[in-house]
Amino acid sequence: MSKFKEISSHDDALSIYLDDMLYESSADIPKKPSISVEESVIENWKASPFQALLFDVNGLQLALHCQDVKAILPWPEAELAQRNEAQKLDEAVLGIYQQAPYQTTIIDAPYIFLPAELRHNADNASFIIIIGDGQWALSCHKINAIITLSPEDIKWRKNAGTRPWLSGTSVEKGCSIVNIDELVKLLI
Amino acid sequence: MTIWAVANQKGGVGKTTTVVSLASLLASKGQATLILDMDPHGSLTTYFGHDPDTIKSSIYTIFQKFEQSPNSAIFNTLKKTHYNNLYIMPASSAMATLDRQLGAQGGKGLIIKKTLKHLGDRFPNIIIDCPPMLGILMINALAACDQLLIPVQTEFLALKGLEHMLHTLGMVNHSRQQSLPYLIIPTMFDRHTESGLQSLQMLHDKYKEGVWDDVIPVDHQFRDVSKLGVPLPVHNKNAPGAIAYSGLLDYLQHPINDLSKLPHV
Repeated sequence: MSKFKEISSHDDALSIYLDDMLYESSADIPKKPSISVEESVIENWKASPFQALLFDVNGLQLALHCQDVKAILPWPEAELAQRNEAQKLDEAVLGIYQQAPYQTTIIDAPYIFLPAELRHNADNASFIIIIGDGQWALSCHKINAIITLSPEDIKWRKNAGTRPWLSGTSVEKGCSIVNIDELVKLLI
Repeated sequence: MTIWAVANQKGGVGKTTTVVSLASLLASKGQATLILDMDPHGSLTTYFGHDPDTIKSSIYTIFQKFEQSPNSAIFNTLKKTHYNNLYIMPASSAMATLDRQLGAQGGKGLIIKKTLKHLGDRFPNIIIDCPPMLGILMINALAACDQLLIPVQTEFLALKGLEHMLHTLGMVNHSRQQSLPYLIIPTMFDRHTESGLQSLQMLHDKYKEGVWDDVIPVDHQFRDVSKLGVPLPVHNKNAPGAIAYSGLLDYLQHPINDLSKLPHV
């Protein structure tokens, strides 16, 4: 048996320490969800209905929380004609889109979301979806719709597994829900 | 009364220089200004002629005695500098032991907030120089201040440190259930280097209105005057660094740039 006491996770440890420091007694500490700052957005999804953008990556229907979508632009073929060195460095990168106010690295969505054997059949992208703070964009073949998803209709994943970007699935809407924070962690 | 904390968990980004410059400019305008050195290393304290290893009363004294006798603790700690209207609460090396001594005793992150409240309206401007690590001293500074200034050296590693600082701020806000407005100040900017230009662009792209729209340039005179213990705006108000800090102060004090409108983590 281990002699060592298991220590708290990074953010839990900080949260407990800060609460001790900032409140005179434990009775003063307001009730807060025991989650990290990064997790707060995704946890909120689980609390109330949210609007999501449905898009298609070669037959796989994905959903993004609308709050995470910064812009949708037509595929910038002309701007990407002279693709830069970044493409050669990483096969997941299709190019850099630099048109004010954006400076965005375009990620090959099939590379991220599809198994290797299906990637080479992927259609040419028609759009880019700029996500999060605008640093990244996903290639996209078709924009399907904006829908409202109810948390109770989603089967939320409990473990990150091999696809940490996958928050859950909605059988009713036939889509997989993408967690942008986890996706970006894969890209950095 | 406005209380600014100047913080970044990366060292060497210009925290103390920012405190010294802004405070001297405020004092030279006839505004009573108090600076607090919350860093046990005591650079700010040394700048104004005290030795953090031998000083008798310091912010350590506040932590030791404030609960029992607040007036006496403050009276003993508050020191006038050589400059009109400018006062300091100095640091001492013993402050490095506070985390160990106080552990996680309830409410110890609020000592400085209570201390400054006790000072009432004596100082319209208070600036806190934070240590470069998370602990009881930084938490006290973040809990006490109204606005947070984050100097960031315009180089790539410093940008990573900024993410770290904003995460810490997010955690503190989560605990306080309040959010603290912040302003990122690009420092040591060298427009002649590609990396300086690129990292400044990245700062603006990523943090947008959270970044001050001007920069503090590289200015070797900062180093020269720190040896003399003289604030650059006092030594040479026309130095590029002094002019830049004067611009920053104008920005901070302009009603239209009320930091409460700026991004909150």
